[in-house]
This record gives sequence, structure tokens and C-alpha cells, in this order.
Amino acid sequence: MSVRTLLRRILGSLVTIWLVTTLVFFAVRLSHLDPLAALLSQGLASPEQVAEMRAALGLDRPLLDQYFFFLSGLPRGDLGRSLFDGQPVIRSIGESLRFTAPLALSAWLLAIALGLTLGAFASRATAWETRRPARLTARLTSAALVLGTATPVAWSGLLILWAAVPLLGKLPPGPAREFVQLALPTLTLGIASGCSLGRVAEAGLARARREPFFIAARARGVWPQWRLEWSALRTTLAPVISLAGVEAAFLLGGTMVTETLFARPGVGRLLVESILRGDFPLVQAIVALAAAGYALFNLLADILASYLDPRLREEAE
Amino acid sequence: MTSRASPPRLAALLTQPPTERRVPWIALAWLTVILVGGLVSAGAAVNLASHSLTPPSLAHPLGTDLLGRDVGLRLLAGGLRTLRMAAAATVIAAVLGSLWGLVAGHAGGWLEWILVHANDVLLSVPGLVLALVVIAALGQHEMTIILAVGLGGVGSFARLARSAASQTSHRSFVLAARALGASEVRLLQRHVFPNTLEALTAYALLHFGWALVNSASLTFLGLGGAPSIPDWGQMLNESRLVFLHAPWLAAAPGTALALTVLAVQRLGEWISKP
Repeated sequence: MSVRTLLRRILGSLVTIWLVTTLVFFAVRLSHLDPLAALLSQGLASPEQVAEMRAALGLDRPLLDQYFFFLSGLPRGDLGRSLFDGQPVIRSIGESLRFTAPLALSAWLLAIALGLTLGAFASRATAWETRRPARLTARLTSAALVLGTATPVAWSGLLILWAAVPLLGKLPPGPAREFVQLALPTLTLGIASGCSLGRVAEAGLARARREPFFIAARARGVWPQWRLEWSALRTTLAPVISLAGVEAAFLLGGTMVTETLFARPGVGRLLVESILRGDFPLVQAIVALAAAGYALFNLLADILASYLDPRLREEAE
Repeated sequence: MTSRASPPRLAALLTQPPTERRVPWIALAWLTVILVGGLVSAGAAVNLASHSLTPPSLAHPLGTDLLGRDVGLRLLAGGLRTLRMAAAATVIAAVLGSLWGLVAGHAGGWLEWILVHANDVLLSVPGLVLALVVIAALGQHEMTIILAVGLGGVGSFARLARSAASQTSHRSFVLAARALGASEVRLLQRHVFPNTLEALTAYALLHFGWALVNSASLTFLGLGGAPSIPDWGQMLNESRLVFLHAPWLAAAPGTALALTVLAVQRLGEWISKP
């Protein structure tokens, strides 16, 4: 990817992030939920106190003023304050990221490892040189990938939790327990995400095995076997990597369910809770960050993909 | 080339490669059971039946829940709601997305540029997060979930429709019709749209599976309001607290959801084969 293409992509991502942020800012203000009015109606605050809180949070000003105030805070890393506890939004997100980041990262790595291995294995089902017992296991792997993509995370997570509860009950609080507490949601998310990666890898590899360059490489007698396989895998990696970039952002969606299931106070859980409470500064900040993360991962994935498959480099220029 | 040994029957059923066109009887049968069962059992599902949390037995093949209601009946009644939500969401996504993409692909020029870039913005928010924004704006209700999941899918439909339309728009029969004086609207209606229909239908079925899982995820998170007959996502959510004592409560909606997604996928593969 040339510097010019790269700069154009970065600029495009920035504009996209700005548009998404703007869209979300105005969308969440359509909400009929007003947490401050709820405080008033529950008798937890007097009308004067509520008016004071509104002024402190800048909610009494016109919408456009609020919008420009919000935008001007962004470069300073000021994303506003929570309506609920008055804490800076960035701090709440930072605290919950400590729970989400390890989970998302380990699940992502597991997904890639699992997706590539299972996908490569399953793709052998349609290769003509695969003999009977291997063909059957390859087909079963392929079926398992399909099943894995169809199973909702909420259900597979419950199954994993159910299987692990006897183990969790025995473990004393400590590093081992913390590890298991991270490993369970990681497995849940990693398997779900890995299966969809695996299907893409499977389809790509099966296609690559039929392409002239692969047949020619085999005819030349490329050896050892892994060098032959790598030549097929290399062209398959581009779609896998771009999907892996998408999956990285998808994991935020996935963490909403898993964090609810495994009771982890992470970003996904925070987003769901702030929606349920109508805490819109938090909602807009998390969505804006998610869009930024998504743009970043997509960009990284495209750079990596164009490095791996030279054919894509020419397309992009 | 060696002749292919046929694998054992069960494995063949599970792993049939999509290249072979066979009527997916199992998938069709499963979807029929869900639809017909849902219509029949809608009234019976809310009745209190027997003891709470009884394991699966002859009287209650899928066990009973905390209030002693039959899980099987609730599953069937809830299935209808789940399918309805996903279907409505898919229709919203397909109609809006196709219109968007068709106009963009057919018009070309600055209009295409604007529509494509607006679509990129839409696609830059993960579907489930976009759905959450809609729910945050409009409140928690079944209708909002439908709208939210629907809007979450518009982007991908628009992308597909645009590429299909721009391929068709340059073909000679479209140019000929234009030369004969057909209006742009008529060109879209009579020439471009019918040629994209096949790709869009196949994608709609694929998308239906996505909509099923996502609307169930949203109701699982408790964002679907509190109707008397829960859909499968809500059933999963309800089963969470008593899961260790009554795993059958979660097994029923979880398995049903996975089977339905599989069935719809299989149907989509079958229909989209030439």
C-alpha cells in the first residue's frame, strides 16, 4: 500500500468516525428516557437539585451548543460525564476495559488459531487426494464449523459455564481462579468467532487448491508439504485477515452477551446497562470508541492483507 | 483420479456439500414444526400446569419452568415470536438496503458516491452496536428490536444490491431500453431490479439467520420489554438463574435457535443453487 493510499484511508476513517459520533450523539438524544427526571419522580432529588445537576452537566443548553461542547472535548480525551454517577465517562470506560481487553484479545487470538487450524483441516474434505478416513473427519470438522456458527453465544456460554461450575466451586480465590474466570468467556467467544473464521478459511483454501498456481506448485514437486500448503494458505489469508479485523470489533457485540452471562463488569456490560438506564453520555462514548476501533482494525487488516497477497496491492493502487 | 468412496449415511446427512442439489427435507420439516406448532400452541403456553422445575418426562417432554409451565409449549409459542421478529427485521433490511443499493448502482456519478460513502459510515458500526443505538433512542420493545436489527442489516444489503445493479446497468438490454425512451424509474423496475433479485433473495435467507441470532441476543440482554410469551432469547435469559438446577430450561431454546439457523442456512443454499 503506497503512502498516498494509506493517507487517504486514514483521512476516510477519521471522517467516518466523526460522522458516526455525530449520528449517535443526536440519535441517543431522541430517547424518551430521562434519568434526571426519574430521580425527581422517585423523590430522590428536589426540583432545584435536578435543575442544578442539569446546569452542571450542560443539559440546559441548546442541543447544538451541547454538540459543539462535546466535539471540543474529544481532542482532550474528555467524553463527558455520566448522568448516573457524575464520573468522567472516560474513567468508567477505562475501568471496564481492564475486564474487556484481556477477554477480547485472548478470544481473538483463540479464534484465529482455531479458525485457521479447523478451516485448513476441513478444506481437505474436497481435495481429491484425501482418502477415506481422513475425508470423513474432514467432513465432520466442516460440519462442526457450521454448527459452531449457528449456535448462539448465549447458549454455548451457558453450556461451558455448566460444565465448569464444579471446577470453579473447588478453586480457592487466587490466580488459578482468575485464570479460569477469564478462560471460560474466552472459550465461549473464541469458539463462536473461530468457527466463522474457519468457514471462510475452509472455503478459501478449497478454492486455492484448485487454482493453477497450486496445481503447478504440486506438479513441480514443491516439498516439504508445509511449503505447498503455505502457498495455498497465503492467498486465503487476505479474506481471513479482513474478517479477523471485523471480528475484532464484533467481539464488542459478543462481549455484551458473554459479560452478562459470566458477570464480568466490562465494556459490553457497561454499554447494555447504560442503555437500560438512559445514560446517554456513556452510550455515545462507547459507540464512538467502538467505531474508532473498528476503523483502526479494518485499516490494519487491509495493510496486512495487501502485504500478504500481491494481487490486492495492484487493485488498491 | 480415484473414485470417491461414499461416506457413511449419517455423516453424509450432516455434511452434504452444498454443490449437490437435494431437497432439504429435514430443514423444511423443522421449520414447518416451528411454524405450525407455534400457531397451535399460542394460547396454551401461558397456563400454569404442574410442579415447578420438573425434569423432562412423558407428560412434559421438555420439562417445566419455575412457574410450572410446560417448556415445550412455551418454546413453540416463543418460536413464532422469534421467527416473526427476525422475518420483519430481514424485510426492513432487504427493502431499505435494496432500494439504497439499486439507486446507487444504477444512478452512478455523484449520487452513487454519496450513497456509497454514507453506506460505508453505516457499515463502520457493528450491526449489534447499531441496533443498540436504535434501542437507546427508541426504548425497549419488540418493535424497536425489529427496527434495530433491521437497520443493522441495511448496510450489507445496500452493498450487495449496488454491485449487482451496477453490473446490470451497463448491459446492452438496459442501454437499448434507455435508447427507446424508457424512464430511469422504469429501467430500475423492469430491467435492473429483476436481474438483482436472485442474489438478493439468496442473501436475504442468509441474513435471516443473522437476524435470528441478533434479535435473540438483544432480548437475551433484556432489551425486548417484558411480553407474556417470551421469545427464545428471553427464555435463555430467564433460564440463566436456575440453570444449574434445571439445564433443560436453557437447552430447549438454545438448541432450537441453533437448529433454526442451520435450517434457514440450508434452505438458502438450496434455493440459491442454479
